[in-house]
Amino acid sequence: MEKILESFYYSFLYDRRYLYILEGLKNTLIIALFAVLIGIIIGTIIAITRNYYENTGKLKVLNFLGKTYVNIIRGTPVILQLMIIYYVIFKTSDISILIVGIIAFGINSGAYVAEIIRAGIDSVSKDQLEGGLALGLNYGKCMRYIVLPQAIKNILPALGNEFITLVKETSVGSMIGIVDLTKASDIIASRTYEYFFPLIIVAIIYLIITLGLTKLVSKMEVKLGKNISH
Amino acid sequence: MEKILVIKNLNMKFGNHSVLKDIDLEINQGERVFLIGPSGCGKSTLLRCINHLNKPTKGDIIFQNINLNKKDVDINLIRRKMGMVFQTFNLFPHLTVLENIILAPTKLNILDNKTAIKEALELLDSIGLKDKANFYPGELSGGQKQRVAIIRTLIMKPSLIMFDEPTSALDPMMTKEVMGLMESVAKTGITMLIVSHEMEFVKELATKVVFMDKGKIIEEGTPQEIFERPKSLALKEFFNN
Repeated sequence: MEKILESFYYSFLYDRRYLYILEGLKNTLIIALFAVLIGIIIGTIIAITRNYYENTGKLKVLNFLGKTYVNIIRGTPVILQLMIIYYVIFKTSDISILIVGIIAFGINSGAYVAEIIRAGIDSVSKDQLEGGLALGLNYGKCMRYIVLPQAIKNILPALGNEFITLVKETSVGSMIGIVDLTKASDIIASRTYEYFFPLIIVAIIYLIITLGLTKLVSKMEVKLGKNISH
Repeated sequence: MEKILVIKNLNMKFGNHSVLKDIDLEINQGERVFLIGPSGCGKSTLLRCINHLNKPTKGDIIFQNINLNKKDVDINLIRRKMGMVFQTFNLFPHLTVLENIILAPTKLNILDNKTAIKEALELLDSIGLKDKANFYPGELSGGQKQRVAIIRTLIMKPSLIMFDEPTSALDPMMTKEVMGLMESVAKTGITMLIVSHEMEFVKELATKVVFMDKGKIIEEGTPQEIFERPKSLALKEFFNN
């Protein structure tokens, strides 16, 4: 018993090592949050471009670019994308590694969010768009007032899940030296040579975050379902 | 009489499949033209081509002396004056009845919010649905939905209203309800172009009947001419079935 307590003490309290965990937690959440925001911006632009192209045949080049981007991002490992962005694209700049992480995960997330939003838009019957167009509303107004408000009940929960995925996925950021939650546990373990507590505690922290968010998402699903089921 | 809509040599293809072939049609101000014909003969596609929900492959559509093929024509402005009522109603389920009706006039800055609400409530009152203003479409019957959809078109004060099988999704009771409203709309003198399978309704309301088969206009004439003296074999067969 005493040994366990001692191990716990050296893992977190001695030398204020818990600060690593807090720092890691902060970075994990910052990267996931900003990455998902970038992802939403990129994803929305791509999804609407693609839908616009499907409905009008316009924006052919942009549609092609969007499609290619989604294919490349979804067809290669995120860790590779991260390394390319850090070691190749930002090789010579002295940009903060945290920003690199946000950009890399944001670009990665954009491809998945684009598909989420596209699926959300597709889930709304084409009759709805046509109902708006026939009244003289242009494509943009139809999207804004008719299609997207209905699509959102399918989009929001999926976006929540994307954020949950990102919280876990940012752990590969430690590959390029980002001190995220996973890296923090690794740093502590490398000081104490005791892996048990740092890894388990960090795992529990991940679980608390993801399970909490999952619960939030399902609550959101129920609420949105109620609002629009009329 | 002034021509409100002229269709010249209209052709429409989906891939290699020809849906409309060399359609010529003229509609005068105040006419009520019914399109009849077997399912899949292109009646609905013709309506959808007229307001460019489907782009015609070839030919001209001239609405109020404006050729829609012209490059500088804003189709959205044309559609405001060219109402369309769908078989599937196409009400917006996330908006209330009132919001459905005022959405287009307010977002297009045709009416301010207050005026739009006032006009919408008056229209709803005229069809006895004022008490449903704050209901969602999902809480209405099919007939009520379609009547709201018609009102939603009327508030735009269109010069022409197209009806694409407006009662096909409804049971006989509701069909009557919707027809009743269409009759009152007709009394206002507005030009109507209607696709319908309800032959009694056609006889009663039409000023002109157009019979289509396999993507072509086969015959057109007054209801008497079409119903009492059909000329083509295809039309006689259509009535016999």
